[in-house]
Amino acid sequence: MFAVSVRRFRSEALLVVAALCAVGLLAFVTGTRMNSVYHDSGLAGCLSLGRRSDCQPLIDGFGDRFQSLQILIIPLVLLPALLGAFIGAPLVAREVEAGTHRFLWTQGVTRRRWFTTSSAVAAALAVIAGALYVLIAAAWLDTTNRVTDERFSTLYDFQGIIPIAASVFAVCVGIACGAAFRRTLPAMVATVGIFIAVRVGTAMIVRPRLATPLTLDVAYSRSDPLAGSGAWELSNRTIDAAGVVIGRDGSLDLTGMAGRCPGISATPGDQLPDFSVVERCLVDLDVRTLIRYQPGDRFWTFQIIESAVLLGLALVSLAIANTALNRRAT
Amino acid sequence: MNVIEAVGVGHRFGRCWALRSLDLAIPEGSVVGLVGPNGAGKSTLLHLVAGLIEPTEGTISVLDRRPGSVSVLPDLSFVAQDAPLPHRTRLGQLVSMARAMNVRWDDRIVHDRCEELGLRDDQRITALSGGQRAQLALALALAKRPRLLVLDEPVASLDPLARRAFLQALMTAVAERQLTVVFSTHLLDDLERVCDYLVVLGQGTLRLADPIDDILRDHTVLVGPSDRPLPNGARPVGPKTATRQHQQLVTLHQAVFDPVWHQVTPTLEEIVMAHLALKPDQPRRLEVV
Repeated sequence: MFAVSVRRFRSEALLVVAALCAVGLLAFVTGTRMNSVYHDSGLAGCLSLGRRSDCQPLIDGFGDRFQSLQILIIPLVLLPALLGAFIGAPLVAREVEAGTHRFLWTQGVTRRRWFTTSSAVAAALAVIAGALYVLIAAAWLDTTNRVTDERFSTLYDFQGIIPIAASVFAVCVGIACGAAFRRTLPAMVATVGIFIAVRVGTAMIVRPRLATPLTLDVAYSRSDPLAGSGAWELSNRTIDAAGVVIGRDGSLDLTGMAGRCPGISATPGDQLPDFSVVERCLVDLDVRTLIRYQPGDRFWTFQIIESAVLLGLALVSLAIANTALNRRAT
Repeated sequence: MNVIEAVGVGHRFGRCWALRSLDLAIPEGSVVGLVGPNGAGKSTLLHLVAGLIEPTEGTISVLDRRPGSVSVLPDLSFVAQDAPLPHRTRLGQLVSMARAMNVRWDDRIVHDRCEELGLRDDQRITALSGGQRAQLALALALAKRPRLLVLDEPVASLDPLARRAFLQALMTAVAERQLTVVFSTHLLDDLERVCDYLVVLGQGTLRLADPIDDILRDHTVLVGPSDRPLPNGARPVGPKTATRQHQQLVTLHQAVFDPVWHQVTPTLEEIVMAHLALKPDQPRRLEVV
């Protein structure tokens, strides 16, 4: 039965692995290039000195140079959803649509065994594809993580073990949709929809609350106090002594300070004051920056918890699929 | 021993009953023809036997076990309507797939049949003709060496030549091994040639289920004057078939000596039609003598 299931996914598996190997080759070449530029341009040396803001021109230069590679991440982002739609959704639905389930489910093995084995093979394929995904992403992200310091924020979903768990989840959701709808196309659409909804929902609502965020309370400075620490900033507010917000994400809103210090005009549209004037005013008003963040060392904790949740949802999907499979079949 | 036993079986799709209160017992070794108009519940009954669906009410057992269970699947072969076969395969792959999915498997049966039919291992399943696919599906079904072979309208989509060849292959298989066959069909003229047991379904209820010999023995058409009541022991089945004189299909278990009545032997088709014409709320079963 195992051999039968493997053979069933042979063409899909070959396609996925071949496509990923092609992207992987590209990633390896460009990743190597990135790494050498990172070192040769002096960016690595500059960042090792610890004053990140001094390296901004080099960081910008690096960004400009490799910005076009961002487009290559798109197929990777889509990969789990594609696996769910093209491997998960048709697993039951295609057979039912073609009527071939009546052949498959009346052979010597039970429907449950057929389903368990096929699902296991599909999930294994998702694990392999997810692992290749992680390897490919690592070729790019090893350097990018260090340059952008966004490993825990915008680049979080492309590395660690999340891509593997997300692929397995997508395939299992696809199987459930296929078993419930019994029509391939609606199942594919629903799979992509559910996958995106769950992933966006986790990233926006669940992930920030997985652990109580820490709060950093420091005097305002132009450079990000958490830069280079690998932390994920959830919010960044600049407030005065009275608690009034006068800036967000490191930028200041001068209208909030207007008229309260000498040298800062109350009428808008005037010439911007000199920064030294502003700085003195910030001290006078006791302006502070409050940052709520998840520290960089929670990265793996978050990855493990979120992956466990995704795998749990994958099991739930399979249970739903199994119920749908046994309840109605014609 | 009964191969199939159904007690009060019904199956509902949504709010619509496809089959209701069906009692059926098929003795081992029969070749059963299952007939009835479209929507009579033939496929539903066969899917219940194959374990593809479960009864909404009542119980059904196949070879004394629950249909679809791991203990009965190896003993049953099912060929669904239009003989669906995994179509993205080549013949050789399909055969090895079926071999891998069955504990009991006789490669020689498939091999010999394919050779007779001129089918090669590298042929695509999609490229097979309807007749070839039906024959291949039958060969795969027989290679399981089943005790019960269930076929859902195996000849419906075949031309007369392919139909004859298919039924020939089926009858050869039945003759060679101890095998119970249940197959549904629209074509009543196949029945007498192939089957020894007849099951008639109409609008989801059982109309008739008996050995064909008994059915033919116990039915007769009585022709006589229209003003005379039917003789004792004759029970009408279906409407009168002529108006100027009394012409009526009846079940009859004793001889009629009254000379005004002529007896005409009905065809199996006439008997089936008469039973289907009965109202579904008064299904009538033959009393076996």
